[in-house]
Amino acid sequence: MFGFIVKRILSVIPVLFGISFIAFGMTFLAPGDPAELILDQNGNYFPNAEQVTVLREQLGLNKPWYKQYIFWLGQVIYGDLGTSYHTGNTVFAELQSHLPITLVLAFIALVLAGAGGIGLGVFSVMERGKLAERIIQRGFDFLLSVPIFFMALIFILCMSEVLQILPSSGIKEFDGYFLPAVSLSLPTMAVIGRFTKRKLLEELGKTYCVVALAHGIKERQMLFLYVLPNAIFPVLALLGNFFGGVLGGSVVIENIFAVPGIGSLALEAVKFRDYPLLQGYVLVTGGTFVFISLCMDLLLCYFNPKIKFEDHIL
Amino acid sequence: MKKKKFNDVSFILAVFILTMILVSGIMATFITPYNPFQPDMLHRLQSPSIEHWFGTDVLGRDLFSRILFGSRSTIFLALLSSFLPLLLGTLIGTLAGYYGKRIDSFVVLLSNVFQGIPSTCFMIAIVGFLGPSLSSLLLGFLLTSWVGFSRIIRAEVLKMKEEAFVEGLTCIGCSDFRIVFFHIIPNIFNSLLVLGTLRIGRSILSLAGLSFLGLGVQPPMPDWSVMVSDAILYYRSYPHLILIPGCSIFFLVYSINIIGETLGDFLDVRIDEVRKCRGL
Repeated sequence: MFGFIVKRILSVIPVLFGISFIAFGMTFLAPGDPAELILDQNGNYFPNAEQVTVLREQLGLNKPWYKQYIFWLGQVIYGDLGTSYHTGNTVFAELQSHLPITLVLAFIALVLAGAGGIGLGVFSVMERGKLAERIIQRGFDFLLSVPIFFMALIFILCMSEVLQILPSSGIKEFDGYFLPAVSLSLPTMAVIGRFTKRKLLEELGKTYCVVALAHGIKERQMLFLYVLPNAIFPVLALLGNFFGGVLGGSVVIENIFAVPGIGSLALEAVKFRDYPLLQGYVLVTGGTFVFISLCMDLLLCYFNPKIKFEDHIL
Repeated sequence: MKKKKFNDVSFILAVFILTMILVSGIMATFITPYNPFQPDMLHRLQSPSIEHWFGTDVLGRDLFSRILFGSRSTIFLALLSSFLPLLLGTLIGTLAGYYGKRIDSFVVLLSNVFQGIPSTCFMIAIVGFLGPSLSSLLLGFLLTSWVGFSRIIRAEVLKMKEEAFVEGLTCIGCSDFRIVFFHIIPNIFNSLLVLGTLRIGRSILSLAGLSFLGLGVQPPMPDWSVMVSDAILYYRSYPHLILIPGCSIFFLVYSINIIGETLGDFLDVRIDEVRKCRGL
């Protein structure tokens, strides 16, 4: 167990370095010279070659890329991600004010998806061969094929326009989180539900279930006491992975429900070509995702100390 | 779980819907009653009628014509965005699985890094740096989704490498190239096929999300998700403006998913869509 924890924590380091490298490398994708971009003030001013050279030296753009990377990484470690072109605030402050909202939203969505998915998966195994199972199966198929923005708009149409029970935008009251979180959770819920169901069915085919049934145990008792604890482990191990999907989906959802999270921030950044902010966005979403996965794994290690680093790949 | 068969009602229905969408997309120029780009301000925001089967949009453009033309960009993008990553992923996956050792550990590290950034966030950032256009969207898609393929292919190749016939081929002096391309890849072709089909559905959904945000297909070009986002100010009074394009995406993705799953059950390919990655 101790070996697992150490290896797992150490394995994060190269991934974090890689993410920072990608975030840094993205600046080279941007068309045009950053120094010219800063100087020309959206085409209002034409800098001469000398001014550009001076600014390039000031920004360190004349150095080779690996020196630039090390310099940049040194700043990032101290939380200095640069200044947003668009708002003029530091990127760190922007992210700090928007990230908690997205995290709350993603967390609610993940809990909903996990609870709903596992619940429905178990229920459909209990009811296997009956009508309820088929309905749930169709429901999962349905949820996996609906674009998330379409679903969210339909929810607004039903809940806010026709029934008028829930707000369609903003998160001033806590019930503002309800519709975004539900629409964010549904596709993930379907994935988790199908996965749970498959793992349960796999487990039910094993010999110990036959033995238990031969001993006269009730099927439901067996399902909850023996099968579920065995089958649920791989599902829980993947919950951290789903966090990434939820984080990505939140961009669309935040846009529709006017939630001021980092998704909305990123869209603003794309609109205004705010490169430092986009870099910060990649770093923060990547870092958060890796951190959450790490936490989930350590938590699972606590519950199942038998886990080894190698069979953790599934 | 019940296996899906080729004579299921849902499979036949799925094939029918997909064929309809493909044919109408290809034949759009001949079927459409109106020019999908031609605004008609006298007949804007009309409800479905005999003249305009699906009504008209904000600029008075015929929705039916736009839906037919819109399927083109969706299908084109979907095919390209599943084929390119499949190609790249297969290449990297076989390389890592076959040669193992250093290459393998490097590829595993690389895929952990690429999976460490949520794919939608990664794509948004790439589109943001390159500027919104179709090519930058495709590049972003390629960079984020090869990982899913290469991971699965690598596992398949690792399994295949242990087989006796590969050993035999090495003994009779086949080159690595020959073994990989003439013997291993044909053996994992079924997995590739199912994987590719199932991935098309997911690609359509995530591309639709990005196009909806204005980062993919650019306006005058008719596209289903762009049509939904164009109607965002009016859909409360005219719900058909989002219902029709939204349902079109749904039917397309649903039929592709059903076909993919039936194919998977028929070829007996079991793919764990959800996989844990090491070190993440």
